[in-house]
Amino acid sequence: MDVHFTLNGENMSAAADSSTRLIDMLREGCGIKSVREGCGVGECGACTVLMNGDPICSCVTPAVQARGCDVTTVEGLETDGELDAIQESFVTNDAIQCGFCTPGMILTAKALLARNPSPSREEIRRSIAGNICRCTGYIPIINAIEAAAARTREENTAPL
Amino acid sequence: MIYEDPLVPSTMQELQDMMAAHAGKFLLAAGGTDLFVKRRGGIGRGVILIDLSGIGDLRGISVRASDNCLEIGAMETMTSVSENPLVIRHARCLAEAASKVGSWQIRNRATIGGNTANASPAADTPSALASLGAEVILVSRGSERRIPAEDISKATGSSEIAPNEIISAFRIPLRENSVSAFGKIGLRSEVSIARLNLAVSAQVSDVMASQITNPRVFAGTLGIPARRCAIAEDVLVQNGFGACGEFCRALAELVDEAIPGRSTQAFKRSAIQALGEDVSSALLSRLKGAVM
Amino acid sequence: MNGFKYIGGRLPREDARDKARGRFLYLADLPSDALHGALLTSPLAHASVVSIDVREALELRGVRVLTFEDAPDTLYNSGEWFPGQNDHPDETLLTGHARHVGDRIALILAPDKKTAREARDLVRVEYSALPPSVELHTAEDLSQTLHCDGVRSFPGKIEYGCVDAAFSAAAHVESSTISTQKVHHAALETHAVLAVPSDNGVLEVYTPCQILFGVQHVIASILPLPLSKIRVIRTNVGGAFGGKQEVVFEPLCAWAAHKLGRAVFIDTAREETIISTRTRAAMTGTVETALDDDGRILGRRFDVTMDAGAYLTGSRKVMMAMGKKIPRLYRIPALRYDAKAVRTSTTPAGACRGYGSPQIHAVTEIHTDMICRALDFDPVEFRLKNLVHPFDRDPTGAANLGNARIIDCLERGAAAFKWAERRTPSSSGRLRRGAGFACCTHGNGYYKTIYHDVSGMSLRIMEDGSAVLRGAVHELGHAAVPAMTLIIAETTGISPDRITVTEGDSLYDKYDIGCQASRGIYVVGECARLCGERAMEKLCREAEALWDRPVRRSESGLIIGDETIPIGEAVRQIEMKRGTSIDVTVEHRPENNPGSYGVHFAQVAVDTLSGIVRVEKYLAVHDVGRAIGRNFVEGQIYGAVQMGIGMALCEDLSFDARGNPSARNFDKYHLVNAPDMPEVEIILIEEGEEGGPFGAKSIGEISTVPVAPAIVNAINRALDTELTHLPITPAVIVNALRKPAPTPI
Repeated sequence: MDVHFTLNGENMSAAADSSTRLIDMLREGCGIKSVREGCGVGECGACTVLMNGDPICSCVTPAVQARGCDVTTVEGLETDGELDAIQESFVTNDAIQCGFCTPGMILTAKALLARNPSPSREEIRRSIAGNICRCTGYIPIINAIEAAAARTREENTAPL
Repeated sequence: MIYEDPLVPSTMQELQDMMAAHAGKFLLAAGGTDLFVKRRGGIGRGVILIDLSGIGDLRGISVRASDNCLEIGAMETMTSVSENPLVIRHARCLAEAASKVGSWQIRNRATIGGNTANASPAADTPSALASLGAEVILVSRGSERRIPAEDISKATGSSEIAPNEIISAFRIPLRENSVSAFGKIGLRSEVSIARLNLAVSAQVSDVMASQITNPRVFAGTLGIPARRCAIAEDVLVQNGFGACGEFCRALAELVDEAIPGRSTQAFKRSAIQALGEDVSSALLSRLKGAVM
Repeated sequence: MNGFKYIGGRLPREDARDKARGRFLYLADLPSDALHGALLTSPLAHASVVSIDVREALELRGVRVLTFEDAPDTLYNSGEWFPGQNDHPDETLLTGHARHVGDRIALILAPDKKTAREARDLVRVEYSALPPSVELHTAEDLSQTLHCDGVRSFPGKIEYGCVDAAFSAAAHVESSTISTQKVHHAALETHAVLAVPSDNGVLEVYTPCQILFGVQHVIASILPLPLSKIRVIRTNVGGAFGGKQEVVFEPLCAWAAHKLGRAVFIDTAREETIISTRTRAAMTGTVETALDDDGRILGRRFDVTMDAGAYLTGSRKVMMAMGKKIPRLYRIPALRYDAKAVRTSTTPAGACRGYGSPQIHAVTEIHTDMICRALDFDPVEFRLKNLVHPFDRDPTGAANLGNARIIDCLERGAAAFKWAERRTPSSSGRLRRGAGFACCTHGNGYYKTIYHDVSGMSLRIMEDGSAVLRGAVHELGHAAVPAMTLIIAETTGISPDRITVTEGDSLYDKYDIGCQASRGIYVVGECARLCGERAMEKLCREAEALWDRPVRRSESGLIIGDETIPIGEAVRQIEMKRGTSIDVTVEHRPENNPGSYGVHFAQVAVDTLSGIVRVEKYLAVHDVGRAIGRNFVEGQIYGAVQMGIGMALCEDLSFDARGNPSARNFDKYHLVNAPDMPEVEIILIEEGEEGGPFGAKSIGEISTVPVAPAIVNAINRALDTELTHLPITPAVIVNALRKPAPTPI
């Protein structure tokens, strides 16, 4: 069947059968390569996408369940080639080494800051508990999320 | 044989018709989080996925005044259960159990119905549901039956649910002055299959908890999804929440009874006492709020 | 501040933006019309294949099947990276004699991945089970059921000084037995390889590997192709940690593509990467230390058995690397290191970050704390008395220790960590707190080992004053490329954003030993520095000849007489008028292999009922000579601590009596995640190391070496236990603290 959904703000339609996972549909049907399989069992978070704003593991989500949903991948965070504050913050805070976990990690962080603009370090740790990183020890990632939150708060409170 | 199109019912009637028409050939997808994990090879040719996510009747969290209960739709996710004010107010241990399931990503998809239907011995919510005295509503074509969550979780592999049945909702009785708490031990502080979990609910007479009635103590991961501990309940009735040492000893006995000779016995009989302490102290701190 | 413009600063990585945008592509992301290969692996630990029926699989559209019966029976060793190393060959591309769960039986190929995996499930294999061999102490006796090569085990020995005399003269002899487990590398990118038959009979092999010339060598030892017809191209790597150092699926993929004349792509799932590639080698070791009355070490004896797994691989090399570390941390007048690698029917071991160093330091550093406890020495004082000093010689005749600043590390660290206060354990409720630490050393290349060490690169300064450094650099995520960029920027004055560093392609690159042996900075980085120096020398020399005036360098270019000429213009004029380009080639052979050093301190809180350990405070102190990029060094250390905590507490790929693995994915194989990762403080000792670029030496491997023993020592101090078998899981702690359950009456 054809699954109709919104991908990074645009209407999309892609084929899915009973065996198709959301990650398969995104990678093979929609050409989205930033969504990657690190474990295939929902344990590493490399395949994280936002579905209606919520982070989910696309490797354990049936593709058919995306119908009518708003799916966001890291490609959808840029506006006119300008990176989102969280992406910038990951770059400037050394939160990226091999980069394999990065898109999923950034999306989880994006969802966190949308709900909680001032998370504590403990809240950040808990929110990214499902995103495994073997390179960074998480510390620069937590720094990056904290810094992005601070920057976003500053921008929002700055006088016009 | 080909890869089948998934089916997307939007009503319970459609669902039951599809289940009847494709008996023996379908798989139900609730949140999907266990579906692809259990079938690492993928879902093969000829198998039809029936997606439950479009059925509005399987959702909703509300107090049913007529039945004096809290009703939670089977397709409610762990995130919604853990954050819902009604659940936090009336079924605190269930909210806590849901908040301890997997990662945020998994909690956003995993459903309370799926957690019970899969009946994994390491599941988080069955012990909480059992301790709250929840009823499971099972629907099949033309009929509905209710069984205690405790009964469904007495065995692994959901043998209590017939192939043509589906969990539609859970009903948790509202009890006056009730208090509950849940604790879990895994290998990591977050995102871990439970090595052990414990859920306790009870009614109390006053802030001092001088009288405790209807205590229900259930441990998870002792071979089955939820195992009741009658001795620990007796301790609570006789001595209240303050007698933590005795309560913990009773829990340790439960471990010895449940998994004698298993390699994990020594670890679990110790660890359950840590849970006993943590849950007791949570219950004590909650008494104030519980007593109107 | 340190007199450098770039070195020691914080440089953003050039590839980070693409990674943040999802545009940095790994092998599995690249478009390809290759046949997809699915591996059919053994479900049994030890079995022979009685029959294999592929008829049903072949009924699916476009499916081809290659079984062990089709494959050459050429034996090879996956840990060999240069011709003539003569590592014992005992592995084949595919096998009808499965020696571990996950051993390769057949390769099923199809036009797409789904069909390939489906076809694999349709292949019917009948196995005849053979007795598994999983215990180290019986492995030698069972060795010939696994391999018919007449080799029971692979011994190795290091000895100097009068060991027996040292022990007979000793006032005290202390002994410990310590074991470490198999650990999965857990690079987030799983193993993948693409082989493409190309023009002129060249076979292209695309792989996210660590040693491209090693891949080329092993493939050439199996296929009837000369090295010149095998082109290995390193693709973007999603983490490696030593797991992509040995060849695993590359020879099989190359052979399949060569045989079929078609491009073949093998992409593995996590389960295959866990059970069918390599692991950190498990080992058990007994160490005895002879001491005088004052607590000076007189001698040490070791008896180590290493679990190579089903094939020898590089495990014997790892085992010897372990022994070589021993005399480079403490002054040990007499040493006997007796070791053997045995084969078992478990996943093969191999290289893993630290290459034996985490294992041997677990042995020596846990043991050293046991000595201190038994003889009532303070662990800091005891170590200060015995640690090596700068420029000590290695008593085995290996390379001088160089500017070995371990004493500085320990003194600075103990003060910063407030060891004197934290050393006393405390209790609150059911929690017990304790602190511990561990010292360590690791190398910087292969100088004065049995292996040669050479790195070749060229640098061209372009006509616009930008520069390209061509070398077989392997960026694994550890910042090899930006480190080279900083080195070139510092030597040439060219800004980092105008420098490009190429990565490994065996067809075009000069020879380099590869990303192993912690040589990336000390050897490869020095080669880059020499390129920068020589290019600038040539530029100045040619400019002097062209303008016939003295030439000096300045920030904005060359000062020729009283005129400042930008580098690009100077290059253009020189090329046009003197007919030469500013393109230099350097082949660098290091003249030392100094030690890098470090000390890690940890404070833990242990729940005595649940056995759960929380690492509450952590300090890492490292003698890095000099940091090239401070943020790169910190990044290595943070990640290394995550990996080491896993080794100490939770990561374990163990095998039951039937040889079945304890984990096949991350649901049962637990890596430390963010909530359990402590904050890590870092102190760098930067006293400079001769022979390294700007005085720099290694950090990537050594940073994970002391983590596990530091944490185990902290646990043992907190609980007054003597836990020596890693990992220290909650169950291990509970069992150590509690007597077994009373039997019911």
